[in-house]
Amino acid sequence: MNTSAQASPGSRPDLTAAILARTSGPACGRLRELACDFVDGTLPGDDGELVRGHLDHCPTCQGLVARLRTAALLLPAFASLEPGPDFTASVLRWTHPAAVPAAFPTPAPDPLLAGWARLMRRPRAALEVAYLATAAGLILAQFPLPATQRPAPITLATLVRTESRGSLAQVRAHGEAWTQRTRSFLPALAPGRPPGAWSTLWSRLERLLHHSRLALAQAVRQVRARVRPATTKAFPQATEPTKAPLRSAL
Amino acid sequence: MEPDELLQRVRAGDELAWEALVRQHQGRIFGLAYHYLGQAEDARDLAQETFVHIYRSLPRLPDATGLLPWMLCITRNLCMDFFRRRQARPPAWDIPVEDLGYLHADEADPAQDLHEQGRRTLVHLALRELSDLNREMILLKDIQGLALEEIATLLGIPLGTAKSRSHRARLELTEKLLALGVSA
Repeated sequence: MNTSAQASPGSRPDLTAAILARTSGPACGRLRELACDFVDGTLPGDDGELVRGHLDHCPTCQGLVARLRTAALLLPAFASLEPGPDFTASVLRWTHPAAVPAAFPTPAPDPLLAGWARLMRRPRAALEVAYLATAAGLILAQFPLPATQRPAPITLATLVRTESRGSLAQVRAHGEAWTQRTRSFLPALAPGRPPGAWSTLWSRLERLLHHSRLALAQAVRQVRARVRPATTKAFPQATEPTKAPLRSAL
Repeated sequence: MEPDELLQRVRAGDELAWEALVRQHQGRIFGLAYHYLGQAEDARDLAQETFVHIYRSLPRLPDATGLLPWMLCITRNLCMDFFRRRQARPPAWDIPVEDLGYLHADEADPAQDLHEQGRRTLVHLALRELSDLNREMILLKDIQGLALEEIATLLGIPLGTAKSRSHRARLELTEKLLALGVSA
Protein backbone atom coordinates (compact mmCIF):
# COMPACT_ATOMS: atom_id res chain seq x y z
CA MET A 1 0.00 0.00 0.00
CA ASN A 2 1.51 3.29 -1.06
CA THR A 3 -0.43 6.38 -0.10
CA SER A 4 2.06 8.83 -1.58
CA ALA A 5 1.67 7.20 -5.01
CA GLN A 6 -2.11 7.48 -4.77
CA ALA A 7 -2.04 11.18 -3.83
CA SER A 8 -2.51 13.38 -6.86
CA PRO A 9 -0.16 16.31 -7.31
CA GLY A 10 -3.01 18.76 -6.94
CA SER A 11 -4.34 17.33 -3.68
CA ARG A 12 -4.46 19.80 -0.76
CA PRO A 13 -4.89 19.12 2.97
CA ASP A 14 -7.87 21.42 3.27
CA LEU A 15 -9.54 19.58 0.39
CA THR A 16 -8.94 16.26 2.15
CA ALA A 17 -10.37 17.70 5.37
CA ALA A 18 -13.41 19.00 3.52
CA ILE A 19 -14.03 15.63 1.88
CA LEU A 20 -13.59 13.76 5.18
CA ALA A 21 -15.90 16.20 6.93
CA ARG A 22 -18.63 15.33 4.42
CA THR A 23 -17.96 11.58 4.44
CA SER A 24 -16.41 9.55 7.29
CA GLY A 25 -15.19 12.40 9.47
CA PRO A 26 -11.62 12.82 10.70
CA ALA A 27 -9.70 9.60 11.40
CA CYS A 28 -8.12 10.86 14.64
CA GLY A 29 -10.21 8.46 16.76
CA ARG A 30 -8.92 5.49 14.80
CA LEU A 31 -5.38 6.80 15.17
CA ARG A 32 -5.76 6.97 18.95
CA GLU A 33 -6.53 3.24 18.92
CA LEU A 34 -3.35 2.48 16.99
CA ALA A 35 -1.03 5.14 18.40
CA CYS A 36 0.46 3.03 21.24
CA ASP A 37 1.26 0.12 18.93
CA PHE A 38 2.67 2.58 16.39
CA VAL A 39 5.02 4.08 18.98
CA ASP A 40 6.00 0.61 20.23
CA GLY A 41 6.69 -0.48 16.65
CA THR A 42 4.31 -3.42 16.92
CA LEU A 43 1.86 -2.20 14.29
CA PRO A 44 1.60 -4.28 11.08
CA GLY A 45 3.18 -2.69 7.99
CA ASP A 46 0.00 -1.59 6.23
CA ASP A 47 -1.47 0.02 9.34
CA GLY A 48 1.84 1.74 10.04
CA GLU A 49 1.83 3.26 6.58
CA LEU A 50 -1.72 4.55 7.02
CA VAL A 51 -0.85 6.04 10.40
CA ARG A 52 2.18 7.80 8.96
CA GLY A 53 0.02 9.15 6.14
CA HIS A 54 -2.44 10.59 8.67
CA LEU A 55 0.31 12.02 10.85
CA ASP A 56 1.77 13.91 7.88
CA HIS A 57 -1.34 16.05 7.75
CA CYS A 58 -2.68 16.12 11.33
CA PRO A 59 -0.79 18.30 13.82
CA THR A 60 -3.02 17.18 16.73
CA CYS A 61 -2.15 13.54 16.24
CA GLN A 62 1.47 14.49 15.68
CA GLY A 63 1.47 16.05 19.16
CA LEU A 64 -0.19 12.95 20.64
CA VAL A 65 2.39 10.59 19.16
CA ALA A 66 5.26 12.89 20.13
CA ARG A 67 4.08 12.94 23.78
CA LEU A 68 3.68 9.17 23.76
CA ARG A 69 7.28 8.90 22.58
CA THR A 70 8.41 11.35 25.27
CA ALA A 71 6.62 9.37 27.96
CA ALA A 72 8.10 6.11 26.68
CA LEU A 73 11.52 7.73 26.84
CA LEU A 74 11.19 9.25 30.32
CA LEU A 75 9.16 6.69 32.23
CA PRO A 76 11.85 3.97 32.53
CA ALA A 77 13.93 6.47 34.50
CA PHE A 78 11.40 6.15 37.32
CA ALA A 79 11.98 2.40 37.62
CA SER A 80 15.07 2.41 39.80
CA LEU A 81 15.40 4.64 42.83
CA GLU A 82 18.28 4.88 45.25
CA PRO A 83 17.13 3.53 48.61
CA GLY A 84 19.97 5.05 50.61
CA PRO A 85 23.56 4.23 51.49
CA ASP A 86 22.87 1.86 54.39
CA PHE A 87 20.11 -0.10 52.71
CA THR A 88 22.26 -3.00 51.46
CA ALA A 89 23.95 -3.41 54.84
CA SER A 90 20.58 -3.43 56.52
CA VAL A 91 19.22 -6.08 54.15
CA LEU A 92 22.31 -8.23 54.63
CA ARG A 93 21.95 -7.91 58.38
CA TRP A 94 18.34 -9.04 58.19
CA THR A 95 19.08 -11.90 55.81
CA HIS A 96 22.04 -13.27 57.70
CA PRO A 97 21.64 -17.00 58.44
CA ALA A 98 21.64 -16.20 62.16
CA ALA A 99 18.81 -13.70 61.67
CA VAL A 100 16.88 -16.02 59.38
CA PRO A 101 17.66 -19.51 60.65
CA ALA A 102 14.93 -21.19 58.70
CA ALA A 103 16.00 -19.71 55.40
CA PHE A 104 15.21 -22.75 53.36
CA PRO A 105 12.28 -24.97 54.33
CA THR A 106 9.99 -22.80 56.42
CA PRO A 107 7.64 -24.74 58.69
CA ALA A 108 4.08 -24.69 57.50
CA PRO A 109 1.85 -22.57 59.73
CA ASP A 110 -0.96 -24.21 61.63
CA PRO A 111 -3.72 -24.43 59.00
CA LEU A 112 -6.45 -23.81 61.57
CA LEU A 113 -4.81 -20.67 62.94
CA ALA A 114 -3.88 -19.47 59.47
CA GLY A 115 -7.45 -20.00 58.28
CA TRP A 116 -8.84 -18.11 61.27
CA ALA A 117 -6.39 -15.24 60.74
CA ARG A 118 -7.30 -15.11 57.06
CA LEU A 119 -11.00 -15.10 57.93
CA MET A 120 -10.55 -12.33 60.46
CA ARG A 121 -8.82 -10.16 57.89
CA ARG A 122 -12.11 -10.01 56.05
CA PRO A 123 -14.07 -7.06 57.49
CA ARG A 124 -17.42 -8.72 56.88
CA ALA A 125 -16.45 -11.91 58.70
CA ALA A 126 -15.13 -9.89 61.62
CA LEU A 127 -18.38 -7.94 61.70
CA GLU A 128 -20.40 -11.17 61.69
CA VAL A 129 -18.37 -12.60 64.56
CA ALA A 130 -18.86 -9.39 66.54
CA TYR A 131 -22.59 -9.57 65.85
CA LEU A 132 -22.80 -13.19 66.99
CA ALA A 133 -20.79 -12.43 70.12
CA THR A 134 -23.12 -9.53 70.97
CA ALA A 135 -26.19 -11.69 70.36
CA ALA A 136 -24.75 -14.48 72.53
CA GLY A 137 -24.00 -11.96 75.29
CA LEU A 138 -27.54 -10.61 75.20
CA ILE A 139 -29.04 -14.12 75.29
CA LEU A 140 -26.85 -15.14 78.21
CA ALA A 141 -27.82 -11.98 80.06
CA GLN A 142 -31.43 -13.15 79.99
CA PHE A 143 -30.66 -16.37 81.90
CA PRO A 144 -30.38 -16.27 85.69
CA LEU A 145 -26.92 -16.59 87.09
CA PRO A 146 -26.06 -19.70 89.17
CA ALA A 147 -27.48 -19.56 92.67
CA THR A 148 -25.23 -17.95 95.21
CA GLN A 149 -24.96 -19.02 98.84
CA ARG A 150 -27.17 -16.21 99.98
CA PRO A 151 -30.47 -16.16 98.13
CA ALA A 152 -31.24 -12.86 96.52
CA PRO A 153 -34.51 -11.18 97.44
CA ILE A 154 -37.30 -12.18 95.09
CA THR A 155 -38.48 -9.25 93.09
CA LEU A 156 -41.67 -9.09 91.13
CA ALA A 157 -39.84 -9.27 87.81
CA THR A 158 -37.86 -12.34 88.88
CA LEU A 159 -40.99 -14.05 90.04
CA VAL A 160 -42.87 -13.33 86.86
CA ARG A 161 -39.95 -14.50 84.75
CA THR A 162 -39.51 -17.74 86.72
CA GLU A 163 -43.18 -18.57 86.70
CA SER A 164 -43.51 -17.76 83.02
CA ARG A 165 -40.69 -20.11 82.24
CA GLY A 166 -42.32 -22.85 84.30
CA SER A 167 -45.63 -22.30 82.56
CA LEU A 168 -44.04 -22.37 79.17
CA ALA A 169 -42.24 -25.59 80.07
CA GLN A 170 -45.56 -27.13 81.07
CA VAL A 171 -47.18 -26.02 77.84
CA ARG A 172 -44.28 -27.42 75.88
CA ALA A 173 -44.51 -30.75 77.73
CA HIS A 174 -48.21 -30.91 77.00
CA GLY A 175 -47.61 -30.06 73.37
CA GLU A 176 -45.05 -32.82 73.04
CA ALA A 177 -47.34 -35.34 74.66
CA TRP A 178 -50.11 -34.18 72.38
CA THR A 179 -47.90 -34.65 69.33
CA GLN A 180 -46.90 -38.15 70.41
CA ARG A 181 -50.46 -39.16 70.97
CA THR A 182 -51.48 -37.74 67.62
CA ARG A 183 -48.79 -39.79 65.97
CA SER A 184 -50.15 -42.90 67.65
CA PHE A 185 -53.56 -42.11 66.08
CA LEU A 186 -52.17 -41.70 62.60
CA PRO A 187 -52.72 -45.37 61.61
CA ALA A 188 -56.41 -44.62 61.97
CA LEU A 189 -56.09 -42.53 58.78
CA ALA A 190 -55.00 -45.54 56.76
CA PRO A 191 -57.51 -46.77 54.13
CA GLY A 192 -59.70 -49.70 55.03
CA ARG A 193 -60.62 -48.34 58.46
CA PRO A 194 -64.30 -48.01 59.39
CA PRO A 195 -65.81 -44.52 58.63
CA GLY A 196 -66.09 -43.72 62.34
CA ALA A 197 -62.30 -43.52 62.72
CA TRP A 198 -62.23 -39.78 61.81
CA SER A 199 -64.82 -38.87 64.37
CA THR A 200 -62.99 -40.90 67.04
CA LEU A 201 -59.73 -39.13 66.21
CA TRP A 202 -61.39 -35.71 66.25
CA SER A 203 -63.04 -36.31 69.64
CA ARG A 204 -59.73 -37.46 71.11
CA LEU A 205 -57.94 -34.42 69.79
CA GLU A 206 -60.64 -32.20 71.26
CA ARG A 207 -60.19 -33.86 74.63
CA LEU A 208 -56.43 -33.44 74.53
CA LEU A 209 -56.74 -29.80 73.56
CA HIS A 210 -59.20 -29.27 76.39
CA HIS A 211 -56.73 -30.84 78.84
CA SER A 212 -53.97 -28.60 77.55
CA ARG A 213 -56.14 -25.52 78.01
CA LEU A 214 -56.96 -26.57 81.54
CA ALA A 215 -53.29 -27.11 82.34
CA LEU A 216 -52.42 -23.71 80.91
CA ALA A 217 -55.19 -22.03 82.88
CA GLN A 218 -53.98 -23.76 86.04
CA ALA A 219 -50.44 -22.57 85.40
CA VAL A 220 -51.65 -19.01 84.90
CA ARG A 221 -53.63 -19.20 88.15
CA GLN A 222 -50.57 -20.41 90.00
CA VAL A 223 -48.56 -17.52 88.62
CA ARG A 224 -51.24 -15.05 89.65
CA ALA A 225 -51.45 -16.60 93.11
CA ARG A 226 -47.73 -16.18 93.62
CA VAL A 227 -47.51 -12.75 92.06
CA ARG A 228 -50.47 -11.19 93.78
CA PRO A 229 -49.13 -11.31 97.39
CA ALA A 230 -45.97 -9.64 96.22
CA THR A 231 -47.89 -6.88 94.52
CA THR A 232 -50.15 -6.40 97.48
CA LYS A 233 -47.15 -6.29 99.73
CA ALA A 234 -45.43 -3.79 97.54
CA PHE A 235 -48.46 -1.61 97.08
CA PRO A 236 -50.79 -2.01 100.10
CA GLN A 237 -54.35 -0.88 99.50
CA ALA A 238 -55.46 2.23 101.28
CA THR A 239 -57.82 1.43 104.13
CA GLU A 240 -61.00 3.40 103.93
CA PRO A 241 -62.69 4.58 107.13
CA THR A 242 -65.96 2.85 107.88
CA LYS A 243 -68.79 4.97 106.66
CA ALA A 244 -71.74 5.85 108.77
CA PRO A 245 -74.99 4.16 107.70
CA LEU A 246 -77.23 6.18 105.49
CA ARG A 247 -79.87 8.17 107.17
CA SER A 248 -82.57 6.55 105.06
CA ALA A 249 -81.52 3.12 106.29
CA LEU A 250 -82.00 4.02 109.94
CA MET B 1 29.36 -12.98 36.07
CA GLU B 2 26.46 -14.40 34.09
CA PRO B 3 23.07 -13.99 35.78
CA ASP B 4 22.42 -17.72 35.78
CA GLU B 5 25.74 -18.45 37.46
CA LEU B 6 25.06 -15.76 40.05
CA LEU B 7 21.71 -17.34 40.81
CA GLN B 8 23.34 -20.75 41.06
CA ARG B 9 25.73 -19.40 43.67
CA VAL B 10 22.94 -17.66 45.54
CA ARG B 11 21.02 -20.90 45.69
CA ALA B 12 24.12 -22.64 47.01
CA GLY B 13 24.25 -20.14 49.90
CA ASP B 14 27.16 -17.96 48.73
CA GLU B 15 26.83 -14.78 50.80
CA LEU B 16 28.84 -12.67 48.37
CA ALA B 17 26.59 -13.72 45.52
CA TRP B 18 23.55 -12.83 47.62
CA GLU B 19 25.00 -9.39 48.34
CA ALA B 20 25.61 -8.87 44.62
CA LEU B 21 22.03 -9.86 43.87
CA VAL B 22 20.72 -7.44 46.50
CA ARG B 23 22.81 -4.58 45.09
CA GLN B 24 21.69 -5.42 41.57
CA HIS B 25 17.96 -5.34 42.28
CA GLN B 26 17.47 -3.12 45.32
CA GLY B 27 16.83 -0.01 43.21
CA ARG B 28 14.00 -1.64 41.26
CA ILE B 29 12.41 -3.13 44.36
CA PHE B 30 12.65 0.11 46.31
CA GLY B 31 11.43 2.07 43.26
CA LEU B 32 8.31 -0.04 42.89
CA ALA B 33 7.57 0.07 46.61
CA TYR B 34 8.13 3.83 46.66
CA HIS B 35 5.77 4.40 43.78
CA TYR B 36 3.09 2.29 45.42
CA LEU B 37 3.42 3.58 48.98
CA GLY B 38 4.51 7.16 48.39
CA GLN B 39 6.63 7.24 51.55
CA ALA B 40 10.39 6.66 51.45
CA GLU B 41 10.56 5.15 54.94
CA ASP B 42 7.68 2.75 54.35
CA ALA B 43 9.12 1.84 50.97
CA ARG B 44 12.52 1.13 52.50
CA ASP B 45 11.00 -1.13 55.15
CA LEU B 46 8.91 -2.91 52.56
CA ALA B 47 11.89 -3.39 50.23
CA GLN B 48 13.78 -4.92 53.13
CA GLU B 49 10.84 -7.19 53.86
CA THR B 50 10.79 -8.20 50.20
CA PHE B 51 14.44 -9.26 50.31
CA VAL B 52 13.89 -11.23 53.51
CA HIS B 53 10.96 -12.92 51.77
CA ILE B 54 13.14 -13.67 48.74
CA TYR B 55 15.90 -15.02 50.99
CA ARG B 56 13.45 -17.38 52.63
CA SER B 57 12.34 -18.57 49.19
CA LEU B 58 15.80 -19.14 47.74
CA PRO B 59 15.13 -22.78 46.82
CA ARG B 60 12.19 -21.59 44.72
CA LEU B 61 14.18 -18.88 42.96
CA PRO B 62 13.25 -18.76 39.25
CA ASP B 63 15.78 -18.58 36.44
CA ALA B 64 17.41 -15.33 35.35
CA THR B 65 14.72 -14.32 32.86
CA GLY B 66 11.89 -14.72 35.32
CA LEU B 67 13.70 -13.33 38.33
CA LEU B 68 12.81 -9.63 38.05
CA PRO B 69 9.08 -10.18 37.35
CA TRP B 70 9.01 -12.63 40.28
CA MET B 71 10.65 -10.10 42.60
CA LEU B 72 8.36 -7.30 41.43
CA CYS B 73 5.37 -9.57 41.94
CA ILE B 74 6.46 -10.23 45.55
CA THR B 75 6.94 -6.49 46.09
CA ARG B 76 3.55 -5.65 44.68
CA ASN B 77 1.85 -8.34 46.81
CA LEU B 78 3.58 -7.05 49.94
CA CYS B 79 2.42 -3.53 49.06
CA MET B 80 -1.15 -4.80 48.76
CA ASP B 81 -0.76 -6.52 52.16
CA PHE B 82 0.52 -3.23 53.53
CA PHE B 83 -2.58 -1.44 52.26
CA ARG B 84 -4.81 -4.15 53.70
CA ARG B 85 -3.15 -3.76 57.07
CA ARG B 86 -3.86 -0.06 56.87
CA GLN B 87 -7.42 -0.90 55.81
CA ALA B 88 -7.47 1.94 53.33
CA ARG B 89 -5.58 2.81 50.24
CA PRO B 90 -3.70 6.02 50.97
CA PRO B 91 -2.88 8.63 48.38
CA ALA B 92 -0.12 6.51 46.93
CA TRP B 93 1.42 9.32 44.92
CA ASP B 94 1.70 11.89 47.60
CA ILE B 95 5.40 12.07 46.85
CA PRO B 96 6.91 15.49 47.39
CA VAL B 97 8.54 16.79 44.26
CA GLU B 98 11.83 17.37 46.09
CA ASP B 99 11.96 13.63 46.79
CA LEU B 100 12.53 13.12 43.09
CA GLY B 101 16.20 13.48 43.88
CA TYR B 102 15.99 9.75 44.44
CA LEU B 103 15.87 9.39 40.68
CA HIS B 104 19.10 8.48 39.03
CA ALA B 105 20.62 11.30 37.03
CA ASP B 106 22.76 9.86 34.28
CA GLU B 107 23.33 13.02 32.26
CA ALA B 108 26.84 14.39 32.45
CA ASP B 109 25.96 17.90 31.21
CA PRO B 110 24.44 19.94 34.11
CA ALA B 111 22.22 21.99 31.75
CA GLN B 112 20.90 18.85 30.11
CA ASP B 113 20.50 17.30 33.55
CA LEU B 114 18.41 20.28 34.70
CA HIS B 115 16.26 20.11 31.58
CA GLU B 116 15.69 16.38 32.01
CA GLN B 117 14.97 16.83 35.70
CA GLY B 118 12.32 19.42 34.84
CA ARG B 119 10.69 17.11 32.34
CA ARG B 120 10.75 14.24 34.83
CA THR B 121 9.08 16.43 37.42
CA LEU B 122 6.32 17.23 34.95
CA VAL B 123 5.93 13.56 34.04
CA HIS B 124 5.77 12.79 37.73
CA LEU B 125 3.07 15.42 38.22
CA ALA B 126 1.13 13.93 35.30
CA LEU B 127 1.42 10.48 36.86
CA ARG B 128 0.03 11.79 40.13
CA GLU B 129 -3.11 12.91 38.34
CA LEU B 130 -3.86 9.50 36.85
CA SER B 131 -6.50 7.19 38.27
CA ASP B 132 -5.19 4.36 40.51
CA LEU B 133 -5.90 1.73 37.86
CA ASN B 134 -4.14 3.58 35.07
CA ARG B 135 -1.23 4.56 37.31
CA GLU B 136 -0.66 0.93 38.25
CA MET B 137 -0.63 -0.07 34.59
CA ILE B 138 1.92 2.65 33.76
CA LEU B 139 3.95 1.66 36.79
CA LEU B 140 4.12 -2.02 35.86
CA LYS B 141 4.33 -1.78 32.08
CA ASP B 142 6.04 1.45 31.14
CA ILE B 143 8.11 2.12 34.25
CA GLN B 144 9.07 -1.37 35.41
CA GLY B 145 8.97 -2.81 31.90
CA LEU B 146 6.95 -5.93 32.65
CA ALA B 147 5.45 -7.74 29.67
CA LEU B 148 1.69 -7.63 29.23
CA GLU B 149 1.50 -11.39 29.84
CA GLU B 150 3.29 -10.96 33.16
CA ILE B 151 1.02 -8.07 34.15
CA ALA B 152 -2.06 -10.08 33.24
CA THR B 153 -0.84 -12.95 35.45
CA LEU B 154 0.10 -10.58 38.26
CA LEU B 155 -3.23 -8.76 38.28
CA GLY B 156 -5.29 -11.84 37.45
CA ILE B 157 -6.89 -10.33 34.36
CA PRO B 158 -7.11 -11.53 30.74
CA LEU B 159 -4.34 -10.50 28.38
CA GLY B 160 -6.72 -8.45 26.20
CA THR B 161 -7.91 -6.51 29.24
CA ALA B 162 -4.33 -5.79 30.27
CA LYS B 163 -3.55 -4.53 26.78
CA SER B 164 -6.58 -2.26 26.52
CA ARG B 165 -5.96 -0.92 30.05
CA SER B 166 -2.37 -0.18 29.17
CA HIS B 167 -3.44 1.72 26.03
CA ARG B 168 -6.00 3.73 27.96
CA ALA B 169 -3.46 4.54 30.66
CA ARG B 170 -0.87 5.73 28.18
CA LEU B 171 -3.36 7.91 26.34
CA GLU B 172 -4.55 9.43 29.61
CA LEU B 173 -0.96 10.12 30.61
CA THR B 174 -0.32 11.75 27.22
CA GLU B 175 -3.31 14.02 27.67
CA LYS B 176 -2.02 15.04 31.10
CA LEU B 177 1.41 15.73 29.62
CA LEU B 178 -0.17 17.90 26.94
CA ALA B 179 -2.15 19.76 29.57
CA LEU B 180 1.02 20.35 31.60
CA GLY B 181 2.79 21.62 28.52
CA VAL B 182 5.54 19.01 28.42
CA SER B 183 7.60 19.54 25.31
CA ALA B 184 7.92 16.64 22.90
